[in-house]
Amino acid sequence: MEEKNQAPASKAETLSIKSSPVGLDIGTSRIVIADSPVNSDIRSQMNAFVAVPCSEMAENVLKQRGMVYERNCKNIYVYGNDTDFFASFLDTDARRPMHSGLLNPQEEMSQHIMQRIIQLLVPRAKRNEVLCFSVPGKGEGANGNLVYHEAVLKNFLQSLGYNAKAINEGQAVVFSELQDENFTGIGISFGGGMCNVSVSFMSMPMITFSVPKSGDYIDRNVVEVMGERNSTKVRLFKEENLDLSRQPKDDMTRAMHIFYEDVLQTLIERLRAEFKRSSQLPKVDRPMPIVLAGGTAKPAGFLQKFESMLRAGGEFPIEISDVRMAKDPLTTTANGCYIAAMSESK
Amino acid sequence: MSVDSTLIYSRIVERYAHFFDRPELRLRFLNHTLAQQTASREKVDAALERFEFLKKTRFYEQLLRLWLYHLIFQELGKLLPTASKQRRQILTFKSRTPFTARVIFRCYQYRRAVYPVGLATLAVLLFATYYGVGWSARHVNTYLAQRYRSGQRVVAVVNDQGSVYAQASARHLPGYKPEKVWLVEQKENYERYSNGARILNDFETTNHARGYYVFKQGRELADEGVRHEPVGILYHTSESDMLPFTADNNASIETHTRGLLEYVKKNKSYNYVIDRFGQIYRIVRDEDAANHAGNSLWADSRGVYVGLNESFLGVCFETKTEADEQLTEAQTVSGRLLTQVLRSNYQIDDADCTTHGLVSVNPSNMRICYHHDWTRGFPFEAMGLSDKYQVAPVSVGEFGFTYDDEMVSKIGGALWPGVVAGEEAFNQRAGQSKLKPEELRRQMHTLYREQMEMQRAARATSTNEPEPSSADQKGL
Ligand SMILES: Nc1ncnc2c1ncn2[C@@H]1O[C@H](COP(=O)(O)OP(=O)(O)OP(=O)(O)O)[C@@H](O)[C@H]1O
Ligand SMILES: [Mg+2]
Repeated sequence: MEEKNQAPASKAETLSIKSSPVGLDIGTSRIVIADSPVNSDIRSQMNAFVAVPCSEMAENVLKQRGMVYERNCKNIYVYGNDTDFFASFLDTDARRPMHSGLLNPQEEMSQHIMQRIIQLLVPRAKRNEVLCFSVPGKGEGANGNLVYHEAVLKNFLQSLGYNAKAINEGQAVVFSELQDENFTGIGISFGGGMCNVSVSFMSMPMITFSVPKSGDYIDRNVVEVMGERNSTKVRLFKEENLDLSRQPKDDMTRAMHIFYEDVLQTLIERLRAEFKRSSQLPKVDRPMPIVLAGGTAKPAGFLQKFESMLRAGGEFPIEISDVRMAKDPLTTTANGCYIAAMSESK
Repeated sequence: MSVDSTLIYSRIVERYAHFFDRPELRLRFLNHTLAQQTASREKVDAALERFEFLKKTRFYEQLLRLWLYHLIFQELGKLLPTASKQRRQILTFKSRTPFTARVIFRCYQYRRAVYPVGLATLAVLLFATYYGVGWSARHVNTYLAQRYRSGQRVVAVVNDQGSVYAQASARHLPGYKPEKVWLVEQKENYERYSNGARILNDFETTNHARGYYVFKQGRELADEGVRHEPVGILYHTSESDMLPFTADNNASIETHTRGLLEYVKKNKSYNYVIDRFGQIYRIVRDEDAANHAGNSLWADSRGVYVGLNESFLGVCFETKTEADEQLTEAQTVSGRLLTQVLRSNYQIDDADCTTHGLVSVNPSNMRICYHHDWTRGFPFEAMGLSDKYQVAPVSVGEFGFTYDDEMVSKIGGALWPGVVAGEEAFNQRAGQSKLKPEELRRQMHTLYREQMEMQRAARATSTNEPEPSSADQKGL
């Protein structure tokens, strides 16, 4: 049996005990927690880790820098926000506990590491507080696994003492952004692993689905066509420099534009198809707004690109009032989960 | 709930949502109110299932709308700040809240002041409702009574006012509405349902697709075209060898069961088998007909069914008629669970759950009980069903099938009460049509054959498959 050796927790939050509802966005790239109505209180951790063979030297470096890690007899694991630093220090790519919105079946450490990362953010519950966590919608390759994914996370969160409830990620976007419309409209989260959509009518999800293409898909394909070695570099370039409103000037940017358009095209086509297919949609008596959220929606010019591609496809099956960006795209899902958790609390 | 009413309700609820500025409170308000309204409506709908016409009245819609307002105010009361000063502020300054919404809520707040008036109104309303429902129940009863006095057919009916035969026993039993049961888990070799039923599918097989007619009068069809959905359940006995049901026989009992399962799978004999340990096996899948009741007849208030392989699901208990103990406890429990699953899946009426012995006929000599499994002793009540031994079988009451001493002694020396009632009905009918019972019987005999032929032809054209021989293929 493995011997577990936990380094002393460096962050005070691990020790505290929680007594308010919690919203938790469990994303492919990042895990985000919202537990107060103040947006600046929202915290996050990268959902990634690096493993290195045990050595005294590596452990000393980690201790000196006060980094979170875990050691078993073979390896040292660095996870959460320290991952990027350590990965670039070792010049390797980080590993991911999740892939395309779900637990990564190729990664044997996935559950264990995710539990550790979640514990960095989520303290134990005091008395069975409500915790709403995000899960993706059904989609290509995400049906059976979805049940498993949800069940595993729910179990773990319950073991921390919470009354854990799963919320569809697109629906969380609606909860966070469409209060004035009485939660009627279309919420879309463009994340790392996938895009999640929910068409909501008066807070009830009518259509939900996911498309397994988003930020990671863009990174992966750009790496491939550009012959790059390391995807972290591509991702950082994208996050810092990409502006979709300007004509691309170099090959890397051009490739990014192409795959961004690919993602948007797939999503919009799917949205059209879902509307055509769905019979249980109430005759909505008003135009619906669309809200865009998630890290992949961050670059300048994204909203305009989305809108023009939406209009370019001809008449949409329902009337759209406006397309808008979420207030803070990186924390929208967590905030929506928090609102859901509050609404379910006594 | 219809899409339109969802829209109407949501519009009403929406007017009040503006009372809430905080997103979580607004969300809770919308969620709770709409969910509760949907649930209430479903309940009312279920209660009024037999009075469809009431649902079309304006009164019904008004009542539901009133109820919605009640829910809204209840939620408002719970969720708005309790301090009355704050509440006043909300009511005066929330300009976004529509004026009418504010006024109605005010009235609700001060409802205690107008309590006496309210009470009087309520009393009048209640009386009207009572009177209305009473009137409609009487109306329905009279209608049914008239219909059955003109006495064309004696059947097990869906609602217990109808058949004098079913009434006596059914009255004392609980309501037989199919409970809502749903699939919880689907694994490679079993399905698990919300009522605890577990259906194993290791022995599942296919056969030809179902296809049948419902006959209204003579050759006239109750509705257009061929139907494909299972409409009822027939319970059978396997009549296979029984070992004493003791722990030291475990292995041999299971070997027997396996043999039985392989046999019925090969012959596509039933849709389900329940073994002695209460395990439920699916044999022929539901969409397909199994060879469990070739020459047979049953009727409900919709019409007559012939050749019930096509229209009924066959459920077989591994047991033997002569056995001391007909069903093990586990079989009884599983039989009840499976009945619930099937009734819920296909909206099967209680009236259409009966046994093989009560439907089986022999057209060559016009006798009932060609097969005689469960001509007595079937635990209908334990299955959550009304007692079909009290129901006059259509084979006797309408088609004039008879019996002889030999048959009576074969089924244990006594006929079930429904047969006697059926004979009376048949003779009465012959009298009314001024025919000798023998003549009417001959006519009905021909009709039976014609109906069987029509059905066979319908199925052959709808499935384009060769027709197996018409005799029961049961060999057990
Ligand atoms: N400023 C930015 N510009 C472009 N892309 C960005 C930016 N910031 C983050 N991203 C990308 O957004 C993605 C992560 O977004 P987000 O945190 O919403 O996803 P997630 O919730 O972890 O994943 P998912 O919802 O798919 O499970 C990554 O692909 C990341 O590269
Ligand atoms: Mg996300």
